[in-house]
Amino acid sequence: MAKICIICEGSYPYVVGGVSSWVHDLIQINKEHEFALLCIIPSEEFAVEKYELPENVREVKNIVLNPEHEVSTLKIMKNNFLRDKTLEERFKKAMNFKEVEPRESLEVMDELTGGKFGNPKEIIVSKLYWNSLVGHYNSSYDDTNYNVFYWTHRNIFLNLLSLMTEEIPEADVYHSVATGYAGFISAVAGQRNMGKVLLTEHGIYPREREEEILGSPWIEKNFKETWVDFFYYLSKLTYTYADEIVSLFEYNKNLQIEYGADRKKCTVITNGVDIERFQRIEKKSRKGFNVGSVFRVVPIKDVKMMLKAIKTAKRRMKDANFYLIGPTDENEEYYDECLKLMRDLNMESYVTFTGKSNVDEYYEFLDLLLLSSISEGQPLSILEGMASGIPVIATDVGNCREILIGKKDIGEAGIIVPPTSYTDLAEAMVKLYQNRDRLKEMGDNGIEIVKKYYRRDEFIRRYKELYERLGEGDGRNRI
Amino acid sequence: MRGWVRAMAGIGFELRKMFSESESTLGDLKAIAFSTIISVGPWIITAISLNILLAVAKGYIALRSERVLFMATVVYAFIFSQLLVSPWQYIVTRYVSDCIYKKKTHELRGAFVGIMKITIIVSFLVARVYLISSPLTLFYKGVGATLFTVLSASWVCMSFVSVLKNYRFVAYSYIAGNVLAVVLGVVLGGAPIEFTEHIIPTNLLLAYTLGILLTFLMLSYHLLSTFSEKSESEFAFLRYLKGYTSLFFIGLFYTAGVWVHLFVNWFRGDYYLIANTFRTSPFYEVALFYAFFITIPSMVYFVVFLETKFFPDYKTYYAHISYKGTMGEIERSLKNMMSVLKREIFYCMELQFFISLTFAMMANIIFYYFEMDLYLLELFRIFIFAAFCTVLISMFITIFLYFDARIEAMVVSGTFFTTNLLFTYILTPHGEAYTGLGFFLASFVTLIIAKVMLDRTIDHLSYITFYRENFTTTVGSPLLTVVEKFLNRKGYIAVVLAVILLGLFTGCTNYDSRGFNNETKHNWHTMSLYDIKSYDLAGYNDEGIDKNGFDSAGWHRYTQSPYDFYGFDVREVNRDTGTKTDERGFNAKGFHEENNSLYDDTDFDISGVHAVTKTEYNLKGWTYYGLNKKTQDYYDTEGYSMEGYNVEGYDIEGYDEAGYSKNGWNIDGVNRYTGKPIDSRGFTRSGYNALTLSKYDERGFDLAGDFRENGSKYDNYGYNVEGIHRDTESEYNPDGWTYYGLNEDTQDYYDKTGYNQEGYNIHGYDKDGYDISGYNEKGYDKYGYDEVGYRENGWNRSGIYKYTDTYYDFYGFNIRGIHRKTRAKYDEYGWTARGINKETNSRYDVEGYDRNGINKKGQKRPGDIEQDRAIEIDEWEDNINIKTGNRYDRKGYSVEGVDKEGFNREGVYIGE
Repeated sequence: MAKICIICEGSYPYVVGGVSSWVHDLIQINKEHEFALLCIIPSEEFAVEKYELPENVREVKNIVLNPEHEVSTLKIMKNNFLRDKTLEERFKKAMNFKEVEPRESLEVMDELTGGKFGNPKEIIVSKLYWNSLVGHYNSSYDDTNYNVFYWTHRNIFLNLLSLMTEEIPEADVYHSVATGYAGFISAVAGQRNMGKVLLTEHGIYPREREEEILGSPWIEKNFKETWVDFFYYLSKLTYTYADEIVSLFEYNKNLQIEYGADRKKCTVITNGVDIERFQRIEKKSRKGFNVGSVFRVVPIKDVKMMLKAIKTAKRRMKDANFYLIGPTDENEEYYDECLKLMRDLNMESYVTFTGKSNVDEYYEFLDLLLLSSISEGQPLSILEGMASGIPVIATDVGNCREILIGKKDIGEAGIIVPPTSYTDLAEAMVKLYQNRDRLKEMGDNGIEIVKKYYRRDEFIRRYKELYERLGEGDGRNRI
Repeated sequence: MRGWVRAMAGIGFELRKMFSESESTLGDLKAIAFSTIISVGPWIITAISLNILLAVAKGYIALRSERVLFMATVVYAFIFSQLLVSPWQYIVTRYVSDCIYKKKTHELRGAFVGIMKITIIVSFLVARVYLISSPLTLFYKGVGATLFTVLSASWVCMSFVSVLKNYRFVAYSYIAGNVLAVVLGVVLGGAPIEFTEHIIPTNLLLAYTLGILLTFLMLSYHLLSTFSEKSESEFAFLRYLKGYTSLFFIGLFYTAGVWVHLFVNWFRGDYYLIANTFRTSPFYEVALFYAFFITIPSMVYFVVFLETKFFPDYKTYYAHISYKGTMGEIERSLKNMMSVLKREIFYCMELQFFISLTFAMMANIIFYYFEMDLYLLELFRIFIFAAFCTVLISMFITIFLYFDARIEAMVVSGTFFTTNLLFTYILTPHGEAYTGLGFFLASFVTLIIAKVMLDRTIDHLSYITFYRENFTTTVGSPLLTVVEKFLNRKGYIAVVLAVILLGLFTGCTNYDSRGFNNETKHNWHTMSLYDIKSYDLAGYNDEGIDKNGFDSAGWHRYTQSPYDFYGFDVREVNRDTGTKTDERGFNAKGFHEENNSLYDDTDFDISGVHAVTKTEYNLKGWTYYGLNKKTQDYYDTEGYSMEGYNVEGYDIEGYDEAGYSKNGWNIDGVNRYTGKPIDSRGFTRSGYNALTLSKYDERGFDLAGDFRENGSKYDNYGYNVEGIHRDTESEYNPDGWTYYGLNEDTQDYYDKTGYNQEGYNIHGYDKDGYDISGYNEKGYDKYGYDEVGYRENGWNRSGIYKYTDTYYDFYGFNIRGIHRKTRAKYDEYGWTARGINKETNSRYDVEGYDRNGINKKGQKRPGDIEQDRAIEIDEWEDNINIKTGNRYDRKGYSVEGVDKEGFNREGVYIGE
């Protein structure tokens, strides 16, 4: 029995979704261990639990990003009196995310937050920080807007330094479920030798952020690179301090290695589904052609693209009905936009937002499952659909390609379409609508693929083994 | 910060245009005139109109004191209104520019009305409280308070206008107001309204107040028409007290710093108290005013430089730092701004320094030419440099505020105030040579500090700017919210108005206004050591005599005594009564305090002049001291005095002043001496003696003094009723005794030998030692027997022993010395009655013990006490000792062992 600290960033237990469900599941299947949750959240208001915490969760600690700090003018004057040229130089180097050696930067920040220089805000407004920053600017940014440069770095470092001063719960294993700020915390735990560090990456954090940043008009062009570098730096830092790095599929493992992870630490543990459970579902046929999609109504799932694809395909799928299954309350603004789009396109008669529901009831009669996400790891909904014998059309994100069409020994379980292309999605739907034999074949292949590659018992076994091994450790925090 | 930058922007555009477009000298002059008007215009206009009014005053007022009163009132109104408003100026400026920046211009009307309310009410109250005990007329005080209030209000207008940058309108308002003031001043000076006191000053003050009122009305009309939207709160600006507290103190300290040396001088230096209301140091103030006047060029230059040269660089720098400058651009623009700032400040200092130096040197010539006081010259010179530094300090503060370096600005203004107060306070009492030096030193030191701090600030400006951007200034606090809510209520105005009205109708108090300065002894009426009546501070004229005729030693010049004609000395104490009033009730000033008039009850004044006849005689022809006009005596032709009594003191009816007749009885039969219906001897007026209940008193005399026994006037001892002895015709008889036994020589009841008239001394014994009953001191008569008949040895005539009450003494001997048992002269132990031992023929036996068993050393015979006790038991029968035959044994102890004195055998007192 070990104590495991799971570090989440903006997910479990406050957000419903793939990663959150995964964490919830992981905790429940490891009843023999005790868990602490360390949740990095944007604000205290965010902390509304969406999951009933399992009994073996002993501690929940929230860390709010961009916290407020009281500043003592006296402390700052004292700081500015104590000049430390070497520390300034080291900090300046640490600001260069592209080139800095992760261990070195963490050590500088650890020294800064040791208490001598006051709280993070006091450090940020100190002359030392200013000099380091100006030095960094002069060496690599000297033709960009200094004001934006200042605020970009101020936000980054205020958060990093604040995270460093947060108290991390004691545990044997620090299991971060992403890199980013969560990974940063686990790296800090590793640097301080608090326990073993385990990383499970569902997606590749900096790549997801990179897409966001590149698509954000409010981030000035020159500083998009800074942010991207920063997030890659966070990944590299996490990889450096992690004892084991888990990815959900091979492709991601290779990316991790590419971004600085030690190949020897990397393993793949796929998500699994309980095939027996889905086999038990009795198939009931329903009138017409029934298409479903299981998701939370949020922009990353690109529901609008799916709606447009449905509108396009419907002309050639006269008896088709569409069920959009899943919670709609996470981003109500987006949901309203989707509803508006649905009304504008006159789709109310054949498209239904079911809200949060029991998916099993839909697996009973669905003929086809869709996934239109812009980004995914290894979506559970596909695996569940496949386990229920339903073919899937998915965008080419995450591990979808490998799951659906990568297992050459069995065959294809669906169709892969390019992300954001509703015409392709519509085309694929019509294709399967018109070819029921192929539909059936793909459904059967899906069951076989899940049975062979995505078994829940295998997933459970692998993690139990991992926790057991890492939890042994030096036994420092054994209970 | 950005709002602040915006607020600082303004008139520069117009100025720059004028300076850049003008190719001609005329154009430059126009630009300079314009910048002069916008920077110091109101001040110059005010100065000019005040000087005109003063000139008008000179034309109409002969009395210097009246002019000084007007001037002091105006100076007070200016200084204290500035002091009252200055803390709010920066706060309001900040609030207004924030409102403009945040596009909340609708809040401006509220803010303007709100601060106006507070200013008007507070300044009016301050003026009222200050003037409450002033002896000036109610009207003068009212006008003065109004001027103060209107000035305060117009300063507030100025802070709003300076944000709007409509300087033209400001100039117009000031010109209009001051022209009105001058015109009214000339008109009212020529044909003044007849006030009870201070006619010309009141008229001039009224004229000036009305002028300023016009300026204020124009300014506020302009502001109110500009801010036409309705606001939510009128006192929202109060929230800035928290968050921008420093702005409050910057304004307060700077303004207080500019004036504090004057205040110190008012209390510790050469000053006059005008109308018991205003302290003023006219020389000091005049010197100060012109010294500041000389700084006008640099003030104008500063405004021009700030707006045309500094501001563009400043804007560039902040644009770079706030928007999209690279660090290189930021550094370059900072450097640029710095060099411009340093160069221009230096140039400004240079310019002003040469102007000041020129004036300081030329002052010499001017002063000699106009024969002005050289003391003023020294003061003026030092003030030139102090003002030079002070103006530069204000420029530094402005620059600090441009950089939002509020703490630095506060340190500078705080230092300015503190050093100024401290230095002036320390240096002023050292005399004229040090006057103004404190002000100069303080401003100089502060200037250097400001310069060092500005250099430091500029060096770190970018850091500081970003540093500050990390913090949002949160304004307001719960307390301020409560205050704001309260002030926003409608009711409070009514309360305040009630307080003001209450203040208006409180009375004035008396005062002494000779116009002297206690320390310099100068009088401000004459500007000399002597007042108008030629008396100095201590009240002496140049002959050393005060107005009562005394010199400083208290000698009266005319009576050649320490007392004046009325008997009062220099301390105004009357010679005869020892108090501040003489016998007649007048004090030294001739004032009858009881009557509260110059006349006493008989209508004479202190010098004896009658109120009605105006001569020394009253209507009946008597002087105050009773001399009759006709007889030139104290009695009139009929022999009666002024009061109606004759020489003997009796009036026409025979009664004296107290109402008693010669016999001592008044009209009601009451005796003069006893105050009762009987006289001291107990007789009533009719001759009945109330003590003896007869016609005779206890000595036997009747009321008329006839002795009852012999019918003569003398009693048996020769004394009459008055106690006069017949032979000696005095109260003493030939032996020197009065009738009641007083000795003439000793004036006591005992004569020189200690015996009284009856022959007994004070202890009651006569010359032979026997008292009146015939016994001596020990209680025995001349035969040796006491009262009961016993002799001193205890035996009486019958042979009974006093203590045993038998025929035998304690030892058993009878009166003849024969022992009861032995029937011989010796008892059975061989002792005689007198205690002589038979064997030794002495008082001691062979063993050396006496009859009582005590040896010469007082020791008892060993075992005697026990033996005695043993004896006791055998020797007693019914408490009678067998041996002695009485209640005591031969040693004198009773059966209980107690002797007749009450002591036991061990000598311890037991009692009976």
